[in-house]
Amino acid sequence: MSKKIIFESSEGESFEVDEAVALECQTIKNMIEDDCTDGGIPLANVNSATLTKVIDYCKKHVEAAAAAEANAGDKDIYGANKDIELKTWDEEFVKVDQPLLFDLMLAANFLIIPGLLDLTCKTMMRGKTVLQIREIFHIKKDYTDAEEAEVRKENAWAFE
Amino acid sequence: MTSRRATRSMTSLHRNSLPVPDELAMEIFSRLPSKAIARCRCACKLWSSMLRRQDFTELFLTKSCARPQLLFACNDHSVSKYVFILSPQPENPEENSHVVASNHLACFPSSYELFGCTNGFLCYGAKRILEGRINPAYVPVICNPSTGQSLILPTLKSRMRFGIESYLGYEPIAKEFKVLSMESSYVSGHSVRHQVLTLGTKKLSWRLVECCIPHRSSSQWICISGVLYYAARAVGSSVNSMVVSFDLRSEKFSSVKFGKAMPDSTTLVNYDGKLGLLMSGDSHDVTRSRTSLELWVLRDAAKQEWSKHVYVLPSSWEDVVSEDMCIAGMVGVNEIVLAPWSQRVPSYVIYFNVERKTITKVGIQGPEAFTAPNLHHSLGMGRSRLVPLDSIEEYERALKLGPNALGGVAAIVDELPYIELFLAERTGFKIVGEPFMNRGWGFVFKRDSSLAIDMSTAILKLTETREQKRILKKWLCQKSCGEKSDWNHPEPNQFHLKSFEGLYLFCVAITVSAFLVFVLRMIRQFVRYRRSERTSLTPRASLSSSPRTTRLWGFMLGFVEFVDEEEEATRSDDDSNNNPSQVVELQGDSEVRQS
Repeated sequence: MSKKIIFESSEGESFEVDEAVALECQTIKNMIEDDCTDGGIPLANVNSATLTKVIDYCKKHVEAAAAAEANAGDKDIYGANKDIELKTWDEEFVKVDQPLLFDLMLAANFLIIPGLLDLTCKTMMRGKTVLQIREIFHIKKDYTDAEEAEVRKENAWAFE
Repeated sequence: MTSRRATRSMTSLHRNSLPVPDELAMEIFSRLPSKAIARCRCACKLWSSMLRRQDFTELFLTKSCARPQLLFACNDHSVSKYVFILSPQPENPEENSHVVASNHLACFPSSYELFGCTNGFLCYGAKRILEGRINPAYVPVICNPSTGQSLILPTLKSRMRFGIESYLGYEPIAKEFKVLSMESSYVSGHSVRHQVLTLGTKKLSWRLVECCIPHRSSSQWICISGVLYYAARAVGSSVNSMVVSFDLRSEKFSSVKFGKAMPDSTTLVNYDGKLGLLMSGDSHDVTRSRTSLELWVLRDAAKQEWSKHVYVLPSSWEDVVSEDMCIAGMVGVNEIVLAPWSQRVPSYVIYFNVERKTITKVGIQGPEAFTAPNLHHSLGMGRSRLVPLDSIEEYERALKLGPNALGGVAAIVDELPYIELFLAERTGFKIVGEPFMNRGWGFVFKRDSSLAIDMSTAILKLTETREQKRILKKWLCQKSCGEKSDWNHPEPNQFHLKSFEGLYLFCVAITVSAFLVFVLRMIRQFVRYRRSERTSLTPRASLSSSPRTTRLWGFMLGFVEFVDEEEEATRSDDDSNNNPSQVVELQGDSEVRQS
């Protein structure tokens, strides 16, 4: 039986996870190494919904890594398919609404989960128009129309 | 409960003023592809300025260096353009896998030569016709294949239009790009007129720089941490035997002797920040029978010190390699990338991991990107004459329309199984000519796969039991079915007498006119001859008094005799030309006999 780590979300809800799963987060890993995880880790800026997703992500990736290791010597004809399967899983995982995606990204940044941060950042911007980007990040347009036309012309290659 | 409130206030704070803290924004940006970054620049002024900063460019470069990609530059002669195609580097090139090179980057007009690239910028030469000049002048162009933007540099201080080399370098301290150009002199063959241009300055102009090392530059170069290195040959030598370096900061040249001739297989690589010369021993090509590759790393330029690494190729090299390869470069310090030498657009690359001693062949798939250029190159067809078709219905429609109608085609080039399927379903078409390459497809398995044996047994069983024949009969078109169907047209690739009508007509016209010219010339000469004869020889005048028929007969005879004499005269001319050598030979003979 492996050691359990207890996370506490901003709502005060407790989540119990295996140590191996918690180690996916660099921040937690440091804390475990410093041995200050007894009595749970309060995560004041991660809400329950986000934390559930984050734990899901870590679990999946720990499992996938273990499976890949187990299969390393075993040459089956599917070979690289494990990777593809994980990628599809990731893609499904980030099919959530923008606020949750945003929270996931912030959580990944706070907990330092490079894979998740990478995934959420890319998903957030993928195929987004300038208007959509402004909407997501609540950016007010500070260009005048002429200035915007200019900057768009300069970056015209990105709009093809 | 307090913590919950804190979260809310934090997120609301984030979302209303500035969306995300600056450092997180940078984290996001650093993970994005270049196109997304360009769009972010258009979002607001703050982001635009953040994304234009030098430190971001550097962050982006470091991040993208961590995920190397393969860049294919293909010179498409039909439209005289360079087509750039980017393919992701296989993340785990352990299996013999395929990557899809579908990321089409920009096209640039090509007219001279592709020189090479530094920090994602490519340098190539173009010929441009300037105002008031007839001959095109040579200008280097810097382009960015990711964005499709290019910068045409001013014309060189040069009178030449070829034999020019340009190198693009990046100087990391001043964070400047500089271009070094030189030309080879007609007289001595040396590189002369070395000139430098600094990019990013308001007024771009070339400055002549002094070089006191007599050498001749080559097209092999690389820029490593602010120094341009290029392979060069010494004066009077016909092989590259030294490396000339140009410090981009001090703009001074220096040279390092290599000690021996560099073979043509030499490629300059960045080996952990040092210059490396990667070569196939002393051999010019990397063949199947090669057993090792050599890497010479420049340890100390001042002391001219090189260290040699020999990478013995594993035994799988012979199994994987089927043709001559060339060294494309090195990824990190462990992986050597090789590409087939003869293929303009490689259909695969080979990774040689020197640490693990593995050879990995990675196919490059780029559906429309590669078949069209290949067809274009191998069959010599113009791009405008190729029409992409997708389904059997389209095949039939296009073939029925014929080559003269819009959207119609004269013939379809496809893989045999598809053609056979098409023929089995539709009548009135036929395979003409010989297939280009293979007759069919095969099954591909991983090496040592147990499935391979099972599959072979299954296939053997299929052939033995005549099941295969039944399947083929049912689904695919047999060779003969083209004739069985209502095919009553003549073989389209046969020539008939009619096809040569024009050629015959032309030949006949030429022959007849040549004969007429000959006859007329003869008659003119004959008339002259008769005239002179008549004036000089009076006895012959008796001929003129004979009856009319005999006179005509005599005239004809005289003419034929004259033509004969003329021929004799030319023949004896030829003989007299040959005679002297015979005489010499005879003399030689007699001398021998005498002695």
